[in-house]
Amino acid sequence: MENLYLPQLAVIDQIVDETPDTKTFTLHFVDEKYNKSFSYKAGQFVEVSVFGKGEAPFGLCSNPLRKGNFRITVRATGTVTNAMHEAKVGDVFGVRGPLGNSFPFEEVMGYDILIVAGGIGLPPLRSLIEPIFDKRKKFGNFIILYGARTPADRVYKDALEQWASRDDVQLLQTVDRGDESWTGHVGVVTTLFEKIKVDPARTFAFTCGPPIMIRFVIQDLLAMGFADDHIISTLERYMKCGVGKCGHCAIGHKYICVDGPVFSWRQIKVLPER
Amino acid sequence: MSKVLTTCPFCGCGCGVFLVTEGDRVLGVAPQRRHPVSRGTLCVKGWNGHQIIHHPDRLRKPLIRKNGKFQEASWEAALSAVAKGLASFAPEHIGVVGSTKCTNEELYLLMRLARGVLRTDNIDTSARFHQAPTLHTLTAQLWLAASTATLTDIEKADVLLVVGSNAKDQNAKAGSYLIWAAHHGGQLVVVDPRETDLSHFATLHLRPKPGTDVVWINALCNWLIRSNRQVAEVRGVNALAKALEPFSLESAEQLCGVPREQLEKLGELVSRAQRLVLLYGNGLTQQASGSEAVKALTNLLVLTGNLGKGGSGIIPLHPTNNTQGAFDVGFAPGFLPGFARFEDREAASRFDRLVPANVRQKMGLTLGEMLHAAGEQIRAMYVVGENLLWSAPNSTAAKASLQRLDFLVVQDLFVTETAELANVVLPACSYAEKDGTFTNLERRVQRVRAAIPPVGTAKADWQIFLALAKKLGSSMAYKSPQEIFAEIAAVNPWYKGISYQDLEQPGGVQWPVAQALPSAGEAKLLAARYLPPSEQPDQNYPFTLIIGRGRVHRVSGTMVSRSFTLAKEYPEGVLEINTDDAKELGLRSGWKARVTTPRGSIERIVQVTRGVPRKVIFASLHHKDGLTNSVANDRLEQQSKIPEMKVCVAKVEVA
Amino acid sequence: MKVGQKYTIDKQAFLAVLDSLRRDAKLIGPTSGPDGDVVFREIASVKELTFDYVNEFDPVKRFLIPHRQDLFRFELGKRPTFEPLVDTSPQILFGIRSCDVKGILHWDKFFSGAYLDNYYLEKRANTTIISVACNQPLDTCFCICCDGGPWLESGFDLQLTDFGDRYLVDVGSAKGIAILKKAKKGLQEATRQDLDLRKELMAKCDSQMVPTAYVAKAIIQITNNRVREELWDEMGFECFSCGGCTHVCPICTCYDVADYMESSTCGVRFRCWDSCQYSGFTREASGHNPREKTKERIKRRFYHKLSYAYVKLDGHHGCVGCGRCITACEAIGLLDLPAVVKRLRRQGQPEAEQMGA
Repeated sequence: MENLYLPQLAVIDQIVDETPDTKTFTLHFVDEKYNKSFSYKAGQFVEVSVFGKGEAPFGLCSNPLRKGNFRITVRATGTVTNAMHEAKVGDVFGVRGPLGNSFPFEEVMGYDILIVAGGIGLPPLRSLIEPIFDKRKKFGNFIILYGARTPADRVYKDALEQWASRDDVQLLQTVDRGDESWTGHVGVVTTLFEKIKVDPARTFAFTCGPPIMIRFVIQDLLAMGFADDHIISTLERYMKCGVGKCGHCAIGHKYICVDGPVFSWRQIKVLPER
Repeated sequence: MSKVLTTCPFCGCGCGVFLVTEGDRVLGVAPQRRHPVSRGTLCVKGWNGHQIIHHPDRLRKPLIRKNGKFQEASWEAALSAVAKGLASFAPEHIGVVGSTKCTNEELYLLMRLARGVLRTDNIDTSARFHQAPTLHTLTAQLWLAASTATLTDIEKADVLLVVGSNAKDQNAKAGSYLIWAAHHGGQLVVVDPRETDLSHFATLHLRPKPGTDVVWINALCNWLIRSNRQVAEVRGVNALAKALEPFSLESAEQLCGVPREQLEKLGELVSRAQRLVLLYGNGLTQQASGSEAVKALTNLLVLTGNLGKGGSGIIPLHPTNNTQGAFDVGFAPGFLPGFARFEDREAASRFDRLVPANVRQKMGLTLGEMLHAAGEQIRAMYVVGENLLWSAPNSTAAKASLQRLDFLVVQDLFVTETAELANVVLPACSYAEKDGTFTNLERRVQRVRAAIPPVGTAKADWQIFLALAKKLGSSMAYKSPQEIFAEIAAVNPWYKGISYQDLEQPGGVQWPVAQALPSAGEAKLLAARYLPPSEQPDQNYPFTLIIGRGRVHRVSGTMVSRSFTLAKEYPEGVLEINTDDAKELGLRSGWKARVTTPRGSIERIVQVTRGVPRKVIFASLHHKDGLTNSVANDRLEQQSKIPEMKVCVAKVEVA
Repeated sequence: MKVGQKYTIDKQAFLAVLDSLRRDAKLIGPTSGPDGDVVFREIASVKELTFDYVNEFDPVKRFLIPHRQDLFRFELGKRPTFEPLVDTSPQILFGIRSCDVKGILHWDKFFSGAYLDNYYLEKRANTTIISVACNQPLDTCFCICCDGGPWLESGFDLQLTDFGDRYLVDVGSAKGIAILKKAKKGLQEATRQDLDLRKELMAKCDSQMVPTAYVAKAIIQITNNRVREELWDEMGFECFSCGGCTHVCPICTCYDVADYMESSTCGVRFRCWDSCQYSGFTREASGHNPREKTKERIKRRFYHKLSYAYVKLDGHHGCVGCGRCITACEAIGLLDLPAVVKRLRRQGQPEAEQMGA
C-alpha cells in the first residue's frame, strides 16, 4: 500500500523576499520522474515538511499550466514557517501533494472574472490568475482587486507591476495605511468595489484573504447581486494530515483538506460554523 | 502493549492512571476506573502530561561545567564532583531544595542526606511558595498539616466553601466533585476576586479585594459567635471573641468590598450546614496574611463544628502531587516527620538518629530566604527537580542570586533555565521510571510504579541520593523504596500501620490508620491578625495584579511546556482586565499590553472581561514575552515565609 | 464451512486452537489487571485469560490506533532519507465486545475512501477479531440504543457466545473459517436450541441495560440547528476540556502529527491522539482560533456525533453505546453522550417538565 504520509524531497531553486515576513520558494522534486509527472490545479495545496520541525500546508501559487517546478509563498508565523525562512537555495523540503480540490477553471470560461485578494491571500489566487492570462481569450472581463496592510506588505510586487501594465486586465490596489511613496488608493479592499463595473450574472468572483476580509467581501458581493455559486472562496483551518484523517480542519462534516479548500458561498453558507 | 498502574503527578489530587507502554516507551495513559476518587477520569494534564517522558530535551547523561561550558561526564565523575563540591562548604552555607515531584521515599532520603550528612537544616521545596501557611498554621491548630476531609466528602457535604482557588482548572478532581455537588443540592460558595467557571455554579460568589481574606473570615467568625450561631463549648472561644472584636461585618464590607448581606448569607449557610467542607488554594495562602487567613479559616471550621465530624472538614488544594509528602516526611526547615517541630524538644529527640541535635538547634532557611541569601550566607545549593528560575517570584532577582552562588548542583529531567546556571547537572528519572509513593492532598498514600527503564543513563532521585550519601561517607543504605517506606511508616506516627503491601489496593491507603484525625476538642482556636499587603496601589501603580496558573499549568511550566499537546493548549499567557479599565486605557481583547510592577515588565495578550473587578488585573503564569513570575512580588509573609505572589501593584499600558 | 454459519465448540477445544495461534500472531485478550479490573494485553498462554469480565475501560483502540504511532524515521543531511515505520505484525484481538467491533468497523471505512491510511489499514489487515457477545453490561452501557450490541450479525472474524463449557461461534469471515478449521474436536453445527439459548442470554443482557440515549430527537435538533445557545453556554461552563470523552471513544480518531529529534541528525515523525475538545486543536499559527471557546468545541463534538450530515456520511451516528464517556467525563453526569442527548431532547420544554426528568 502506498505510504500516505511519506513526503517527496524537493529542492529549493529560488527564494524571493516578498515582504519583511514573506518569502516565495520555487521548488522542484529531486526524483526526476516524479517531478515530470507532478501536475496540479489552481487552488490546490501541498504539505511541506522541514524535518525535525514539522509539516504545514501551503497553497500552490505557481501557474499549473507550466511544468518543471512549482512555487509556494510562505509567511513566517509558526515553527515550520520560521524554519522554512531559514532555508537557502539548494536546501530541500519534504513535499506531499497536490492535495485538496481546486478553483473552477474550465467551468468559468466565457465568464467575466473578478478576483478580490487580501494580503497573503493573493498567492493561491495567482495560480488561477496566470492560467487565465495564458488562456485570456477564453474569459471575459478580468478585474483584480488587491488590498494589503501597507505598500510593503504587498506580495508579488513585480507581477503586480506587470499586470498593471497589461490592458487585458483591470488591476486596482489599495492599502490600509500608505507611506510616502504610495500614491494609490487607501482603504480596505471593499472600498474598491465602487471603482469597478461588474455584471454579477456574467461574473465569477474569487476571493481569498484574512477571514474578516472575506466576510465583508462576500457581504458586498451578495449586495451587488452575485449568486451564491458565483462567489468562490477558500477556507482556512489548522491542518495536519491533508488527507481527511486527522480531523483538525473539519467544519461541519466538510474537511477543508479534501472537500476544500475551495468552496462556493452556496456551500459555505450552510456550514454549521463559519 | 502493557498497562502499568501508577499515580498521576500533575496536581495534588492523585488520580489513578495507567501508563500504556510498548517496549521501553510510554505511548499514552488510561484512567483507572477502580480508583476510589478519580473513578476513571483524568484532566487535560493527566491525559497529556506524559508526553514529557520521551521529550527530546530529556537529559541522558550527567553534565559538568568546564571552562564555562557543559561537558558530558560519567556518573562517577559527576557524583564525585558534587560530593567534593558540597563537602567544601560549611553546613550553614549549603541550601538543599527538594521537589514536590519527588516520591515520599526520595524526600525522606534527601531530608536525611541534608540533615544527617550535610548537616544543614536549609532544606525546602517549592511547596513553600504555595502551601507554607498550611504547614505552619494547621500544625499549630490541628497538630497536622493536612486535610481533615476527603475529596469524596464533597459529594456528601451540603455546604462547600472554596476560597482562593479555581479548582476546576487547577485541581480538576476537586472541581469535578464541586460542580457535581452544586448540581445535586450542595450550596457552593466561591470566594475569588475573579469570575471563574466554578463561580458560575455558586450559590454565593464573594469577591474580596486581594489580600484581605483574613478580614472577612474573622468578621464572619465574630458574627457567628456574637449571634450565637457557633456550636457550643469550643475551647478558647471567649478569648477568640475578644480578639475578633474589631472585625465587624461593616468593617469587612469596607475593607474587603464584600457586601454585609453576602457575609450574613454565608454565615447562615455555614452555621446551618450539616456537613461543611472548606477548600482553599493559593489565592488564600500567597498573601501577607497567608498564615493568618488559614488560621481564620480553621477557626471557622472549628466554630461551625465541622472538625472531627465525618464528611466535613478542611482541604488545602495542593498544586503539586506530593506537597503532602514533603510535609509528611518533614522536608521543611524546623519540621520533622509527622509534623513534629524542632521546638518540641521531647518529640524532636525521637529523631536523634535522623537529625543530629546540633542541626536542630536552629531552624534553617526557607526557600524564599535561601534565594534572598544566595551568594551571601548561602554559597552552595543542591536543587532537585525544581526550576527555580521559573517558579520563584521576582525571578530576575532569583537568577541574579543563583548566579552569585559558588556551587550549584541541579538534578532534573531537562537542562532547565536553572540547570543552565549549574556547575553539575544530574539526569533524573521521570515518574514513569521509578518506584515509590506519593501522598495526595487528602492524605492518600499511593504507589508510583516504574513502567519503563530509565531514559538514557538517568537514575531515580533516591538512587542518586544514596550514591551521593555514600560518596560523602555516609553509611546510609536502602535496597528499595519499599524499605525506605517501611522506615517512614516507622518514624512518622501518622503513617503507622501502613505497609507497602497495603498500598496495592485501588487508591492506596489514606493516613492515618492507627490513630484518629483531630477531634473538635483537640483543636486550638488562634486569633488571626490582618497584615495588609506590602504593596498598596498608588498613582504610579494603580492596579493590583493577581498571578495564577492557567488550566494546563502544573507549577512553573517546565513540564507542561514539554508536552506538545499542553504547550499547544496554552501557547501564551493572558492578561485579564476589567472592561471599564480597558476602555480607559484604550485596550482591546487580543491586543498586547505591557504590565509593569516594581520588579519589571512583561507583555501579555489582553482579555477584556467583567470577570475581574475594577483596578484588579490577572496574569496567568507563562514564559512567553517575559516570565510572569519575573514581575511577581517576592516579599515573604512573616510566619510561613510564603511570598506574596497573589498581591502586587502594577501599571498597564498598551504595548 | 461458510460465512454466516453457526457452530458450537467445546470451550477447552477452542482455547487450544487459540493457544496454537500464538505461534503466528500476538494474541491479545482480557486478563485481570493490577487492581482487579480487566486489562487487555498480549498473553503468553490462554491460562492468563479471564472470562468473567465487564468491558475494559481503555478501549481496544490502542491496538489499532496507538496513543502514539511513529510514521517514519528521518535522517537529516543534504538529501534527507526516510525509513517508514509501518507496523504490520499480526495480532488477534480475542474477547473484545461488540461495541468495540462496531468502532473498528467505523474506522475501517473512515481510514479508507479517497485516501488510504496505510498505517491503519495494514495493521488492520493483519488483525483478527474474535469477539464475544456481551453477557455482562455495565450500568453505563447503552449499546441497545446504538445498534452496537450486545451481539452482532457481522463485522467480526469469529463471534463467540459463552455457554459456560461451550461457545456458540458465528463465522464472520474467511479468516474466521481458517481458525475454526483448526479445531480437532468438539465442533458441531449449532442447533435450534443453541440459537434459542443465545437469544435468551442476549435478551437477559438487553434487559440489564437501561436505554438512555434516545438519539432521534437530538439528531433533529442538532441537524436543524435548533439548540438554544444558552444550553451550549451552560455546557461551556461545565466542560473541563479534559478530552477524556474523545480519548475513550471507540469512534473518535483525531490525531496530531509532530517531529521529535532523537539525536542531532536523526528524528522521527509520529502521530498521537488529539482531541477536538482542546483549544489547541484548531488554533492556527497566527494565534487565530475558530473554536477558542469551550462551548464551540462541545458543539463541534456533538455535531460530529449527532448531525444528520455525519449520519449520512458514516451510515450511523457517532456512538456505539459503550458508555465510556459517562465514566470519563470530569463534569460528572453532565456532558456524556446520553446526558447531552437528554438535555437536547428536553430543551425548549418548560422548566417544570424538565424537573420531572
